[in-house]
Parts: sequence; structure tokens; C-alpha cells
Amino acid sequence: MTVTTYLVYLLIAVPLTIWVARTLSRNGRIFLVDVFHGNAEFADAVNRLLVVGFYLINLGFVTLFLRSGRPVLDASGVFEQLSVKLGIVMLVLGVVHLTNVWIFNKIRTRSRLDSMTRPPVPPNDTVQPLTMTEQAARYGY
Amino acid sequence: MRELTVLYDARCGLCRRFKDWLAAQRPAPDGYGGLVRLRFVAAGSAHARALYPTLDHAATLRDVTVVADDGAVYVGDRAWIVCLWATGDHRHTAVRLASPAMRPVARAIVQAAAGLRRVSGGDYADGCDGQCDREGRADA
Repeated sequence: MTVTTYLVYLLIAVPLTIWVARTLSRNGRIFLVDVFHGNAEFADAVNRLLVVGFYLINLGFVTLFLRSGRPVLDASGVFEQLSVKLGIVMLVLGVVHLTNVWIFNKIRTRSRLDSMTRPPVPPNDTVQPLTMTEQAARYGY
Repeated sequence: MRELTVLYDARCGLCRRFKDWLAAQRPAPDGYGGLVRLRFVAAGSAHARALYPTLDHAATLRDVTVVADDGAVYVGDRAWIVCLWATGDHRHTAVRLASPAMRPVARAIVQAAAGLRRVSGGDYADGCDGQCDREGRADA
């Protein structure tokens, strides 16, 4: 029964990781293209690097988390083991995924701040600044 | 906007310290590929009057005033937000303070700073007393 547990665990955890990574790369691309001002090639490169990191961290965790301390004896044992293992894997995937989304958003906010051309508050008033010729005339040139 | 002129009170130590702090900050991008430039002019000085003849210069001595190169005038808490906006490291703070929920907080901070200035500097009846910086006396 222990081997069955391992098999079911891997059959669920690995596709789950792949699904989350694909969702991340498909939707993250839109953020990155916006941040890099439409430079799609650069956005794709950054996106791929982030997804590779995501795969390595999560598959590494799934692999390390495979072994269980005690042997599984019956069918209910299989479900108990799986519920704990898969629950923790999903929580870890969720945390890593949300961290990635947070990073995307951080990059985007930064780029939006840098491209602001006006302060975030409206002016109280407006004045006409003197032109160069008016300034020269004032000083008697 | 590419250039901001900060009209500060050259007779008040707190204002001069704030001006020095602001001048030492890393400038923020102006959104056109360059950086926002800051220019400091003593409020009420002949230079300020020559630059902006239509501005109420008595009011610029009461509240810090920032004039942009396109003629936009920012006074009080808006001027503070614009100053923060022009720094590379504190622009996000400026954007946060500019939101409707945070504007009362910004106003309170500015009022606290104005109170501090009154406590620390009096109403400057005796002029600079050798404490003016190189921009000179406000009424020079």
C-alpha cells in the first residue's frame, strides 16, 4: 500500500505543479509585456526564467516530501497519508505562486511610477513663467 | 514635467534642512526618458519675484510652494507631495499620500511640520542673523 500511496501522490502532485506553472506563465506574460513596454521577446525570456525557478522549487519540494515515516497498511491509510501530503504540497504551491504574482505586480508598479509625467496631485493654481526674452528685458538687456 | 522650482523660506532652519535633504536625494525619472530637475529659490527673494511676477510672494513665505516648468503651482501639502514625487526613492510614498484616504494624513503631517517650524524658529522678525544659506536673505 505504501507504493500505491507514493504513486497516487506523484500522479496528483506533478500535474498540479505543471498546471500552476502554466497558469503563471500564461498570465504573467501579459504583466511582463506591459512592464517592458511591448518588448515581447524580453518579456518571454524573463517569464521563462521565472517559470523554471518555479518548477525547480516545487518539483524539488514534491520529491523531498514523498517519503512517509511509517508504512501504509490499508486503504484508509492511503487517504490519510495523501490528504496530509497533498494538502501541504498545495499550500506550498499556493505560497510560491502568490509570491510570484506579488513579484510581477511589484515590477509593474515600479515601472508605472517611473513612467509618470505629472505629480499625483492637481495644482492649486497656475502661473505664466517668464520667457527668456521677457527675463532679459526685465534686466535691461 | 521636467523641472520643479521649490520656493522655500531661507530664514527658517527646518526649511533649509528639508531643502538640503531634498537636494541630496536621487532624482526620479520624468517619464520622458530624463530626470526631474529641482531648482531651489528663496521664497520672496528678488530672484523669485523676477521669475514669477504674478505669484503671491507673501503666501510663498507662509507655505512651501513648488512651481513646475509648465506653470503649475503647488502649495502646502500638495507641494510636499510633489517634492516627494520628484525623488527616486520616495515616489511611492508620494503616490500613496496623494490617494483620497491618505490626504488627511498628509495634511496633518504638514501642519505638524508648520507647528514645529513656528516653535523652532519664531516668526523670523530679526532676519537671518547669519544663518541664511547662499541663496541669501528672503527680502534681498
